[in-house]
Amino acid sequence: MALGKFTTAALVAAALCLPSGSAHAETLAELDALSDAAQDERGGIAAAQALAAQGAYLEALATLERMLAVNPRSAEGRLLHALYLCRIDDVRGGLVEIDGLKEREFGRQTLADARAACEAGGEVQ
Amino acid sequence: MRVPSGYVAALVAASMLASPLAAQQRTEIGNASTVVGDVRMSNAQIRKPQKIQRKQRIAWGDLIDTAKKSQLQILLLDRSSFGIGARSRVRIDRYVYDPNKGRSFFATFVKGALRFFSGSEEGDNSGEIQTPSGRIGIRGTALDMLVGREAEDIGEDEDFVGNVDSDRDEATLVVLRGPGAGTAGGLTVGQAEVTAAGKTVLLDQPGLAAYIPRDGAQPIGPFFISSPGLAQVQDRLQPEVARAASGGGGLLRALLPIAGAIAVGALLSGSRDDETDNPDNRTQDHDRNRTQDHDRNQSPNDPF
Repeated sequence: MALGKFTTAALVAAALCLPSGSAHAETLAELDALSDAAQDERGGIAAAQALAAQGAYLEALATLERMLAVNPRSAEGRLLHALYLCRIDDVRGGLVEIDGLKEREFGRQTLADARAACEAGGEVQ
Repeated sequence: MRVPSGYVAALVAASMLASPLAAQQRTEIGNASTVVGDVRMSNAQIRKPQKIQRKQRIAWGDLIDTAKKSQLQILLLDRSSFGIGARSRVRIDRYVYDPNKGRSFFATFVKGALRFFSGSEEGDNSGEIQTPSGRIGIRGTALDMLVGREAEDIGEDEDFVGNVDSDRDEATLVVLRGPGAGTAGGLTVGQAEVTAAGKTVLLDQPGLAAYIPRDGAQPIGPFFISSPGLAQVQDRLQPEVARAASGGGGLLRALLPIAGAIAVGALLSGSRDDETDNPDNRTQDHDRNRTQDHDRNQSPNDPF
């Protein structure tokens, strides 16, 4: 079931804006909020992008994997996962994932852009 | 004042070591952040494995079993995570986290597929994972591991490994995924030490791997795992994603519109533009790997 934009935004905010101002969870309830945020495709991608914006790429990857476990066909999620691998310098791992994406599903130009971005360490040129 | 549960975990850990009576207490260290399919948990009190629900607490000593087409992610208090693939068995024996001092853990990985992502970078963080044939010490890292038949199948296909005598239950394949020296975000560069039979192999670049064929054998490596090998490891860790990517879904899949409108730049727009690393000076590990791929993947028995 898709969540509304407001609900998604609220879940992401709840998961990422911790009371202590710390970037890291310290209670099990906060872990539950992180879990909730990644159940929905949009929420999971938004949470991952927010973590990536803080430089927390490993947590962003883990967030995407939570989301992809229940939304395995998420095209954006799969592509972003590959690009975040490139960002942590696992360029070959990212390219392997991009090579596994179907041109029929993503389009030739998108995959070409993704490969170029990956080879530049996840940076769009 | 709210007391972070990390402190509580550390305190309870200390008290458990001090008091045998307290051994009955559960030291909750994380949750089941995603559950797919049939995932069960047992421990000293729960002898008959019980199905795990999402957000269920995970504690010291809980033995996790995943069935076919099932997977689980365990999210720990420091936001480190264990991604557990299908037909796997894992137990977190010990985990201590203090938000100011860091995190340490010891886990036992019996069979299947496991991915570890480290969480908080604060403090001194370490971890050890025991497999049937070796021990993996890790530092600030993304790491993939396979134990059992799939490790054997993938490991023995690697040119560097060659023809070895493997055990189908004990074979262990370890692949470091990052972060590498060229990582964005200023993350700690990942390292893993794979130790067995008195020999330690250091993995310190993304894509480097080590293979332990059986208990009592030394690790083989380090070597850069091949792209087909890496793809197989990835498929074991996220089987549902692999199935979706391979076109699972039949007619419905064929009727779905293509998602070709995805703009890579927009997708990455959550990324910071003000990172301190200079793209011009970025370590291009892709190129470096190509060169070192050649060097490292020369088998010791290969004169060329």
